[in-house]
Amino acid sequence: MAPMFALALPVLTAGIGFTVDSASIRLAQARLQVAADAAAAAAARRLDAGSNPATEAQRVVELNMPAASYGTVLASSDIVGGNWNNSTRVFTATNSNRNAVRITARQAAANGNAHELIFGSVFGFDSIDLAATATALCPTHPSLSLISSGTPSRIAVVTMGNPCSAGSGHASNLTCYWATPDGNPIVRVDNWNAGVTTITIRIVSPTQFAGTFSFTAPSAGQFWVMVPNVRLSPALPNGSTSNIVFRIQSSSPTVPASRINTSGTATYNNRLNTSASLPGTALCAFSNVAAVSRIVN
Amino acid sequence: MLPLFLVMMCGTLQYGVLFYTWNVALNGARNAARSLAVGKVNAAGAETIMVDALPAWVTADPDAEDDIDASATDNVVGSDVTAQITFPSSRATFLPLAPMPANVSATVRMVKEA
Repeated sequence: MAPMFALALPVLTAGIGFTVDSASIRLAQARLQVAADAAAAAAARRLDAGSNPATEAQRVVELNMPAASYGTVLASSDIVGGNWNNSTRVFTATNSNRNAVRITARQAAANGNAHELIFGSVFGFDSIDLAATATALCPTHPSLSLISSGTPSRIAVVTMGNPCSAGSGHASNLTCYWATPDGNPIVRVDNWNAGVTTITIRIVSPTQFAGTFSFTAPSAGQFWVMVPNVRLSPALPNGSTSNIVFRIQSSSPTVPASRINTSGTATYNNRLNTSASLPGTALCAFSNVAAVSRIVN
Repeated sequence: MLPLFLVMMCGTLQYGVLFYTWNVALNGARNAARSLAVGKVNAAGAETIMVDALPAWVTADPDAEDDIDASATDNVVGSDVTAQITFPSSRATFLPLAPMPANVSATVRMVKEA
């Protein structure tokens, strides 16, 4: 019995070592995945102009796996901004039109923090490299989308209609205007200023909607802007229409007078092409907007 | 020899169950933090998610409520939320064997998104 046990001892020890170490590896791997998911989700909310996704990713990894205990979990080269194609489900690293962030959290020899094994050292394996990758897609801006990123000649509201769609109830030779299914008008606003610009728009008429609203454009370009707190009732087929008129009030920062049109108006009516998502190209929401990122991979 | 064999087997089971329970607690904290971050639950709901995720041998005992400390802090959009669960490691093991950490603890922090 004793010799048999002596012979079996190395095998038993190996079995025990393997069992306990694989359990600890699973735990470490799960902890890395949690840190990567949290960092990617947070960084994806900082993809708007003027924010820094890499700093945010580092900050959130530090919250979950402090460097004092885990070393360098997230190297700067492991934070990659890029574009996520939702139909092909492929992430491409790029610096333009970024809508996603890919984070790879590591406990690896290269970072000087490889995961130490408990029994592995008995068999000459002191540590093992672990990595967890998470890709998060930025939240879509709920009230702003991009028509074109070319720089317009000035800040202005623009009347821009389209042929009425089949769902609008109007003949296709008529002009309809974009609105949300709830009846919020979607108005085209051009921004000349290259940086982040807050533009305030006045609703000139009708009087029941009179007032101002603001939105923040991330850069120069032409944008679709959803008008908050206004609900238009759609015009009936062949019925009369009512107009809603917009005018630029101001911009912050202020721009030269020749670069902002505060006298011209844009007139929309209530022949509505409704769309659940904004027309144009989706933009990433600003980090202070309540909108959820998606961990896609 | 038999005692040595038994010690080895018990040790394997002891640490296996401990790591398994720890992993489950971490997953529970992760799910709670994410639910809190996306506005699906409030802090009390996040605490329930963490406790509900624990295996039966941690919670099935009249004193469990006193021993298990699940806490969650909610926040405004853009700030951090926290989900944390801590319980004595004796609840995650079946033998009072040393050396064991005093507590099993899992903390997950995420940014509030909605």
